[in-house]
Amino acid sequence: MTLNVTFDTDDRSVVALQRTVLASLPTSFALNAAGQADVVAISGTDHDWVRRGRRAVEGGARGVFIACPGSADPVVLRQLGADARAAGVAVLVAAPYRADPAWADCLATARRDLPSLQLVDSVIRVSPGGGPQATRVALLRGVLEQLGVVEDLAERRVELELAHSSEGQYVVVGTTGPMAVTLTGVISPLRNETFSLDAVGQQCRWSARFAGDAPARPSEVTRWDRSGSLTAARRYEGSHRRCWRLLHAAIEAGAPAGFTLEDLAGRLAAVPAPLADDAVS
Amino acid sequence: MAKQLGVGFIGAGPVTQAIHMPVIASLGDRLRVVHVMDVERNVAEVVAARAGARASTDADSVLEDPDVDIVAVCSPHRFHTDQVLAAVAAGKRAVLCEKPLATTAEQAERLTSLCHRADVTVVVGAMHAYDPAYVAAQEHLLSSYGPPTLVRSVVYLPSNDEMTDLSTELVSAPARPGPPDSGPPDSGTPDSRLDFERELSVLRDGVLGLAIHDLPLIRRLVPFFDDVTLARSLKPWGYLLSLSSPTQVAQLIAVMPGHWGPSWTFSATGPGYELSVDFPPSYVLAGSATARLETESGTRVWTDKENGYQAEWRHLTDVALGLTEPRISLQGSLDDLLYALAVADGAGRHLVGTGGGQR
Repeated sequence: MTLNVTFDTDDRSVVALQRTVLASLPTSFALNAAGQADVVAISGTDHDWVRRGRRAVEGGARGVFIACPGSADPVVLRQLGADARAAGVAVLVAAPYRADPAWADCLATARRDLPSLQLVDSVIRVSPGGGPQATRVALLRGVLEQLGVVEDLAERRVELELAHSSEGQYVVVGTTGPMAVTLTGVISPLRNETFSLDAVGQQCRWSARFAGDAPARPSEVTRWDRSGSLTAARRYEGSHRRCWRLLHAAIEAGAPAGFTLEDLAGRLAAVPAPLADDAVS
Repeated sequence: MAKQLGVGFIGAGPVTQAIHMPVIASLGDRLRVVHVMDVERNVAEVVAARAGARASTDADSVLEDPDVDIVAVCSPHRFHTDQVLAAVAAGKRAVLCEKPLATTAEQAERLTSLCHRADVTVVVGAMHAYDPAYVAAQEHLLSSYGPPTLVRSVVYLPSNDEMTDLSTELVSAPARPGPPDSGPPDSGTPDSRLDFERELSVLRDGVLGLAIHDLPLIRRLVPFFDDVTLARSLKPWGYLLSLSSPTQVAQLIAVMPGHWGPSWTFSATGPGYELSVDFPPSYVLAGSATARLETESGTRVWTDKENGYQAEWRHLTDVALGLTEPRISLQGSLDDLLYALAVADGAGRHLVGTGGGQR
């Protein structure tokens, strides 16, 4: 069934990207169709995004697509997630890197390597926002994305502490099991977004170079060991498109959406205070 | 044709055999090995014979050899300062001292008297600081752009043995019983004091033995830091370090040995640019780094057929012949060393402050 989508966000860059992605799913989703919207797309870049999300849940939408995670009180988010579930509304928080198809293909193998891994090192260069507050929100989104990918890999929470924070960048360090975790974020000087993750142990090493801003640019995921290296097949489906398909399946078939408000709330609670606080100040 | 200068080695271990001997062979029109000293007679004799050089087991023999124009100090770290001073006192044209120049501030202080002498040439074996591609990229960066906000040195290496086997057929001293260099062996049982001492040792050895290759590069881009805000050792051996100032952060990461190919990268992110550098492994003559500077107007790439060691020896020869001035003065090398010592000391303080070894 074709689901009607409407946007409730002031972030024009989010609308532009998601409209492009939705154009590749014309049977599943329609834009600007007459009548009640089935799906409301919002963005965490809006300061009142949680209020907009609640308005969508209470306004009769069947699904809510949150294009970018933003800052919020974890307690309020959990309540919104519970209310949405009670109302039968599917909510998906887009995870541009965690949902990456090439990474998803490799995840089971990477998890098997976990016992031998000693270090996860991730760097995200986020697109600058328009002004200091937008920049802080962009950096918060960066650490949330990184934390999401690492926790998904480790299948457990990561305890984080701040090692460095200055205007336009952060270094966060943590531990999960035997692995040291370092997450670095910086405003991209070239305005494009890049995300890298290296997981290193004595027996093998993983490198993920996630695709940038183009909707379908493939990521490159490589595993090295003593026999050489293996790079996963290129998947020309961007993670945003995959997220929209997941949301469609959740609405139509009741499948789990996968990337939930509860997940986001957990990560927000784990982010060291200055980063999370700065983004809402 | 320029005069061929004679090189005398103090210490003929793996770095001399696998790095310096092949490099000097590649610069055979300018340099020749004339004397090899090592405390292990067999090592000294075999390595010397390969180059048609004299062999000895005491450093004074190298310093007294009139055919030695350049002394290469490749002994264990703790001897470096005394041997550099002795080579200068012997009136040699130039000294190449493997890093580090000294292991303590007190030793460094003893070298400062040499800084004002015009007749003394001492350079430190810091191959990345001489890598032609990196040097060109850095000069372009510093003359055209502002300082970076983020600098990263990330090193993933296989075992040194694996790399030396690709570079030479190593002559080794017979194994002797005794404690390893990097602290007590892993007992496998939890002992926080032992863990702490081991972590402290790994971090200091890591800074002065491996990170020191890139710390001069970092110092050019991050001249001052307030504190070491992150210091952890990594298994099997390695470190995770972060140096912070109010506007800049430098990260140093290393893990080794691993059963995978080597990767040595350096990057700098600043206003309007991204510099990314892939360095080849130190032990092989694989050419220079590949340095890419990406800006909004495009990407510029630097590369060269010579690696940093070759460029450094070529430069040292020119300096010894009076053809040029040292690109990095002794004072500059001492400042690099003091920076590295500050990192090592800061890492130790951070470890004490965070209860390292008990994680």
